[in-house]
Amino acid sequence: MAAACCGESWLIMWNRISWKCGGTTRCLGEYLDGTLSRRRRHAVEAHLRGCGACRRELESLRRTLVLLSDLPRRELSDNFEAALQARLAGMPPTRRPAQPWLSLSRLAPSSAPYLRAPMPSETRRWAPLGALAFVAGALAVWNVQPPSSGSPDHRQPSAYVRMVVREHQLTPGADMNSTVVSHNLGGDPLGDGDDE
Amino acid sequence: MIRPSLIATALLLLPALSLSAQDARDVMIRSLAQESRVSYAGYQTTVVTEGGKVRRAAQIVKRRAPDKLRIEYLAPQRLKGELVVDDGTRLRRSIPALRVVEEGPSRLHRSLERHQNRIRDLREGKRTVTLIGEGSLLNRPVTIVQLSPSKPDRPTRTLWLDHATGVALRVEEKSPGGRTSVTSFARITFDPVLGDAEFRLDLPSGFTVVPAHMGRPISLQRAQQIARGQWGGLPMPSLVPAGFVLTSAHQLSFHEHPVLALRYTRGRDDLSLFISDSAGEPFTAPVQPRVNVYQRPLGRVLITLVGTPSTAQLAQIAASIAIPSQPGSPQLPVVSRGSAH
Repeated sequence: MAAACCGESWLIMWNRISWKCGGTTRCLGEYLDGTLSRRRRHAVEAHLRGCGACRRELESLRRTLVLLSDLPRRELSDNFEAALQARLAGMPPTRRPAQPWLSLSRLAPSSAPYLRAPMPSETRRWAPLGALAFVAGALAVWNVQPPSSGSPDHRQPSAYVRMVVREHQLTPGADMNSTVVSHNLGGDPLGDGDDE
Repeated sequence: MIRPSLIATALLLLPALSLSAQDARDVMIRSLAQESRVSYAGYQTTVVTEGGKVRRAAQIVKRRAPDKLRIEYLAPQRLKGELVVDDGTRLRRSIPALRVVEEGPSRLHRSLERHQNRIRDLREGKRTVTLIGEGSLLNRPVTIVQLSPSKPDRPTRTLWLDHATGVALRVEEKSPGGRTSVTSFARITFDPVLGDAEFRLDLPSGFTVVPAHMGRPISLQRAQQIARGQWGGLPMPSLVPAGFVLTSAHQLSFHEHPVLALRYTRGRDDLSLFISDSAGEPFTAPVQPRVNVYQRPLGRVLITLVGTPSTAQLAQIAASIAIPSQPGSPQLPVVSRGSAH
């Protein structure tokens, strides 16, 4: 699996994931948002060119964003916030863990018993490494051989594939529809504005 | 020597010619000014002729002044049941066959916003309007005017404008590439009672809202130009299934990256070739009935084929694609070869 993933041993794969891939995956959100500095963006793109695992991670993030954007928007009612605060104020206080250090819940206002205490320092130190180990394992398990020519792919189509399929399906009717709408825009008899 | 009688005739005709040009502009300006004040409902047909192929549509059109429009398609079968509603804020197109509602900003609103600019251009003589003549359509007197395009690649439009309301009862358009389209009312009623519900398109259950159709038709030359700048050339297949003909090119974008689409058709069968930057692992699978997908990276370029041919046929087509080695060399017409579908 390691050879299939990165063409290298497990140790080298782990090192790459820990140092290079970890750095890249942490930036993928900002990369998609377009908020990375130019230097950092180039570094991420250079890494993506050579790392299939990170490219898959990027694609997964993109798909998630598209799925979220497809969700219908719901309008909040006018008294939503007031109702939320009232409900929170009526909730019973949670049991606080016995911790010698100050926790956020002690500092927070009494109406926020839902805040969790921070993890112990030992847990905080090892949690990122544990998460990386999990990600590495997941990537190794998730890695699949590219499909051979003509054989069906069992993955979900990417956002790009979904877009081009939709474009392919919409084009025939869209051309005629565009003509009909354009001809019915009486305010555009000159035909030079709305078609651009 | 020019005979004096000819000179006299020309002098007499000159004001008449100027007057007719002025009349044409006045008619056009009046039509633009009245356009947002007239409501109507009617049965309309559209005929598009391109490359020897004729396509027809029939639709019910309702317009409520100042800025509401509804188009309900009755034909052809492919469009039947589709509904377009522009409520002055947004334009929605319901496509039941795909369970999709396309949504975008109101085109009517955008068009009305430009009225003053258009009227000014006409008054200043920046647009050429020719008076073709007077006539009758649907037993209503009409004035026929022709508008010359503002740019060489834009179409020439001829309008049959109703005397009483300024509404275009018939529109003929001729593009330099040979495409012609004619939209004409077969029946029309002015000032009908049109309720708010007519111009509201709610999202049906199970439908998805998608951005309005992104692909903008462009010429093949323009597609080649864009592809040269992006990828060094336009990848085109040298082998497509027999009968498929390249019919159009489109420009779109994905996450701000340019995407080109070439469209091939053969009767009711469609094949689209998308060209974009390479990214991700190639994907190959049937995604829906009559819609198969095959992707192939080609250096910096990703080729995506979508259409009715099987994935194996799409793979063959993809294998025949190469980026031309010499940028600027003219593209050969696509020759339909290969196994029959």
